[in-house]
Amino acid sequence: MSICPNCGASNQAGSTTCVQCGKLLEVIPDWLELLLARYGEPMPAFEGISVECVPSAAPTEPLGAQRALSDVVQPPTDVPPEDVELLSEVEKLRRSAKDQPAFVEAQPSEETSTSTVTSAAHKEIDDWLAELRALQEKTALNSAPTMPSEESALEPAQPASSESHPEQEISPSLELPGEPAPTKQPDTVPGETLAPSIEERLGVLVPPTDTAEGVPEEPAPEWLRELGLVQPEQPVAPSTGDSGRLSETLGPLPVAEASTTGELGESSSEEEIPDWLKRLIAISSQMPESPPPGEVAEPTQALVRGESETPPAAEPAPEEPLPDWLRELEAMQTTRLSTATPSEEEETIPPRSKEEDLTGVQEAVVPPSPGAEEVTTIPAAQGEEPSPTVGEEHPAEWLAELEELIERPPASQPTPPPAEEEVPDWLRELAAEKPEAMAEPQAPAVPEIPQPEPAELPQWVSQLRPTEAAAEVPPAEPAAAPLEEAVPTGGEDVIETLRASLGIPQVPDVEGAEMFREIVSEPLETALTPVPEEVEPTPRRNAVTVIIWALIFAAILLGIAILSLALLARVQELLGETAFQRFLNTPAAAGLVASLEQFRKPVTAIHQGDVVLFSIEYTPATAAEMQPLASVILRDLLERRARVLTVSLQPEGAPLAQRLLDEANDTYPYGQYTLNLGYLPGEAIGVRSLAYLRNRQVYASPDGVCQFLGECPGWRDIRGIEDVALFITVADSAESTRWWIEQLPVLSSGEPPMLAAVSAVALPTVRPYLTSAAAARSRLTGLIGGTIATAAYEIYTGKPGRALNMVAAQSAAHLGLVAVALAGIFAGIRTRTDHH
Amino acid sequence: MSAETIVAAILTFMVWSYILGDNPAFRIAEHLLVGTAAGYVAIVVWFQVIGPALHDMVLQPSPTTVLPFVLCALLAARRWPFMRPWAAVSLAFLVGVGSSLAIGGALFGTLWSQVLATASLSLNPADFGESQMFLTSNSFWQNLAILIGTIGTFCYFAFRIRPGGPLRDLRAAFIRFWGGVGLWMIMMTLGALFANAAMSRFTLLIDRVQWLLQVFGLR
Repeated sequence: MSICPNCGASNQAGSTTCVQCGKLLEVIPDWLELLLARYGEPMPAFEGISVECVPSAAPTEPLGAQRALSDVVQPPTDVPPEDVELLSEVEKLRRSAKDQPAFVEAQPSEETSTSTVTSAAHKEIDDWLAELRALQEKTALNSAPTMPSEESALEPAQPASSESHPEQEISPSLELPGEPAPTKQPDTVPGETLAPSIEERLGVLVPPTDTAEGVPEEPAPEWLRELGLVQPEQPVAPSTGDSGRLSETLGPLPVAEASTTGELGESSSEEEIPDWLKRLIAISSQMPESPPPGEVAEPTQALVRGESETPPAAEPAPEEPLPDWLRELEAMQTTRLSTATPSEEEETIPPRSKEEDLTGVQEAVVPPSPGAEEVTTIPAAQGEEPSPTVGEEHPAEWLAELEELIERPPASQPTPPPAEEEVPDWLRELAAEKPEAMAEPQAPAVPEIPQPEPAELPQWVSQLRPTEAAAEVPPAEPAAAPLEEAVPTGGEDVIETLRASLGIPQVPDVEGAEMFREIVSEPLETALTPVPEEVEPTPRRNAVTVIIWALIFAAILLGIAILSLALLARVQELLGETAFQRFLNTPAAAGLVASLEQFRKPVTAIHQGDVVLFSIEYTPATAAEMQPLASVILRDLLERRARVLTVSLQPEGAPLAQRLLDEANDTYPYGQYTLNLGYLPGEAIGVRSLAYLRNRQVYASPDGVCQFLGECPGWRDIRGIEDVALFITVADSAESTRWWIEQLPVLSSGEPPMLAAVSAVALPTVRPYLTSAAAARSRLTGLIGGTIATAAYEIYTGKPGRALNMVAAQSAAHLGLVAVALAGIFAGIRTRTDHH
Repeated sequence: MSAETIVAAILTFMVWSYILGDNPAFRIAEHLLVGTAAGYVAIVVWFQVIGPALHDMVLQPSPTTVLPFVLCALLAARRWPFMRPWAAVSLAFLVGVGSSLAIGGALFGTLWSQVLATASLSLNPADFGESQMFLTSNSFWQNLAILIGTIGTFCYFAFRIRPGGPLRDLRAAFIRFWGGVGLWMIMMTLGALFANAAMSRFTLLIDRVQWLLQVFGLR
């Protein structure tokens, strides 16, 4: 996001003109903004960050070589130390900016003052950011026409320090021992703020000496010394001498050499590169051999990463003598000098906000915009391994972290927003600035710089390339939360870059992760609160309770039994056999009698020796009802001297049939009048197996010799089903009856009549077969069912049996059932009446 | 009183304990019943079906005695995936034979006979003897009830779509009326079925109680 220097309105990153006033927006590199903001102030007291004030001496090693890269690249456990350090940096910068609130608001270029860092850094971030924004606005106002004036203003401010101290490292305001804290620039006319702002920013790169409360003077970072922007041993110059110090800090930049001052820039607007940038390039060209270039280049490249537009090129080259970004700077310098394109100061120093200034300060460490953009592209692509810890680790750590945070990924790679409370505002600004800067191909602050080849990016830069997933960001201070809400989403890229470099897994949805965290961290009682469910009452498992209830139940049954016994005689008299016999003589029993007579008609027509196929289709569960019926029918058949063959389509029917035949064995010996053919498997198919009736195996051999029907004596005349004179099925279900009714007539060509004696349950279902016998060849000629029919049959045969004994009880049960049904009907009617 | 009687009595009480709710005693009796029935069926099947078939195959090998076991083996081999195509032969045989018998029996043994019988019902008073004798004839009223119930039941299960055309209202009223009649017929049929089922279960209970009374010498 860029701040309009004219109206102060926030504009989208990458916009060239203000959306409100339409004024051309000046953009300076983010890294420069940040750098200027940093080194223009005393070291902010970031938590967890130990930043040393690097002495203002020419860096002898590549930038970042002495930095504690292990700290930079170490994946954070709970709270990344880098992030904490960065946050502390931000806080320091904020405090420093807060010390100079008026100046910063009026002149955005003043934000690089080396104000002391207070302990309340986190809550000061608003002021710090406001100062940065003011500085940016000021620089924007003085962008095009004032660029030369800025440079000229900077020049006298730092007349001799730039060349005399080419190696002076621009140390950040964080922990610059021995370095004077960068003083804030004096108030200037808005038109003149651009030049002084840059000068001051660069000037405050010198380690501040007069730090504010509690901020010790720290030596300048190694990377600054490497760049030659800071003189490590030189005392920190006051803020008023920022311009002069700037020249000293920046050192003998190539352009500065050409201009004999190495200061920030010639006054001529036709210069293609600002002086400070040229100085940086010159420094880079003059830098000696350094530790692994990738490590060295990491912090500096990270600073300039924000301006990168090209995709980062993975180029692992940790063992190169010079960092890639230095080589890039050299290449750019060569190209620039050869092309001699006009430089536009306003491109390098556009009006910015506080955050942008901060980024610009950081980015000012590296060569100026023409080469800076190229450099930024390179470091942005490569996430090189951190350089070994060489030299000062504390300033290197925070710087490396800051560089990584500043690094902006390519615009084509969107990154999800991190947690708001975790992203410092200045980081968000940095990220916002990056798309804005990349979206401005004609940005005047960026002179023409040949784009570096992605393949040349160091590895550490390519590693910092953000991925598509969001990374977890440790929670930041709550004070930063409200401010971060207004922070544009550009800072998310920086966070993602940092996460990618640290290897932190990215969380697609940080808010969702937070919510999940809250849910998981809920108390166990609430989490395990069972949802009330309608659970069935569990059965009483207590043995004592079961015994008690069993005794109660037995007592109730005993009482009923005793009462029944007491009334049994009376009930027997009223509803017993006698009463039933009288009932059969009444017209009400006409239907029962008719059905019984219809059933017995074929039975009475049996002749002696006729084969009757008797099917037992009930199970022991219903034997109480069906056994008396089967028994009375069997006796009726045996009394007529018929030969009864019992079969069953159910496995349990065979033994039941055998029991039935054994009961009549005394009178009608098994094997002579009766023979059990056993179980016919296959249900309906079993009926069809009777086609081979002669070869059917007997269930129990009568003499122990014959195994098949045709072998048994007295049964050898039976050839097949056509020799059967009558078929009777005693079934407890309609299904088995249907099997016989459907299959047997086809098998026997409809000759033998069929009789069915079923239970009361199957009676209504089987009756249609009886009623349709007249019209169709259903072959069912007789049907009876139930205990009442059995009792009536027993009466007709003159042999009372179990059915007749149950008539009284059956009648009483029926009466009780009717009474209960009537009571239920009346209760239902009454209930409906009450409702109405 | 034999041990079998005592065990039977105890098991009877254990089954009746379900009136107090599901309890271990009922579960034990239930499991005993199921297990005993399954075991008994297995024994009967072996001695009544498989055993004789094996005996015939061994002593009188012939296509009619060997083929059933071949099909049984193919059906058992369905466990292995590579034998499943061959097991399909047995399944096809079973399904084909069973379906043919079942469908044929249902069509010609049940459906066709019922349709013919219903269609042959006469409501002609002349078929019931002298004039006005049909009023006292059970057959006449039975036939009438059958016809009304059949039509009403069919109309009840008719698709409830709004008829179209010029006589849509009349047709809708016709369907609605006869559907109501069919609903009443269905309710009465279900009531009769329920009543008969209750009678059957009462019989079983009465028999068991009488047996217990006899066991305990109370009867």
